[in-house]
Amino acid sequence: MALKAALQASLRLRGGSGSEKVAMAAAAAAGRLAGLSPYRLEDVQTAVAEACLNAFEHGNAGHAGATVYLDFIVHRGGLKVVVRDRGPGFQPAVRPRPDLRQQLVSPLPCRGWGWFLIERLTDRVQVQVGNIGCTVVLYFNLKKEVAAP
Amino acid sequence: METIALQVEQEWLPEGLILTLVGEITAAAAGVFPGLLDLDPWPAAILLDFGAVDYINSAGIALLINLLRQARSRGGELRARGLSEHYRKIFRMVGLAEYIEIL
Repeated sequence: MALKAALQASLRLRGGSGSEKVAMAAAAAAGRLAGLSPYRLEDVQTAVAEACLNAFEHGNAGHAGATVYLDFIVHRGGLKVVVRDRGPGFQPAVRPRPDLRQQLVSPLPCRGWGWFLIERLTDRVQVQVGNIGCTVVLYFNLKKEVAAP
Repeated sequence: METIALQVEQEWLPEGLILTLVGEITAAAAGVFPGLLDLDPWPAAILLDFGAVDYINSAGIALLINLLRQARSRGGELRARGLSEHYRKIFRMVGLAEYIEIL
């Protein structure tokens, strides 16, 4: 389907962990409209789910009643997903990268894999921090479409 | 929103233990895993059957890393079967595929 103009849909999630599955379903629908392959749709769903979980946990300090806002923008080049929360945000560059080898010998909790997956499953990700919250923007490009390995 | 709990069926065989996982591996499954970490005796090999798992998130990956950590400290091996192509890729990305034989 050749898009003449961008299509946009919005979603508000309340209810915390578990409700990210609504966002996953919406992300899959938007990704299909964008023309992404079934293989790539699973990347979209996982990355969007992890962005929502991040927002539930960090952005809204685990308050199940707090709201996470999503915008799905389908355009000629692919899909853009915007995830917004009311939290203080974070700096990806100073976030420690998880190291499995280290986690296997450490007594500390195994954390950090959500952002790790977001970075690897998207073509680009941006974090914008403002005085009303944090915005994470995920990009999935059509030109990066590849077959499953 | 309610999250679907994980159910685990255990089948002990002379060569090891088969854990059939049914449901979702998320933070909601955290209550299931402590029981698995306390297995006694610890089997020489554990085969994790993911054939009936349709969702694993980062909290679930952390639970699996914990199980792998325990298996390694107790001298056991972990194997996996039934993973979808997507989750096979995730296992490779995270590095789990270096430690868990994927069948």
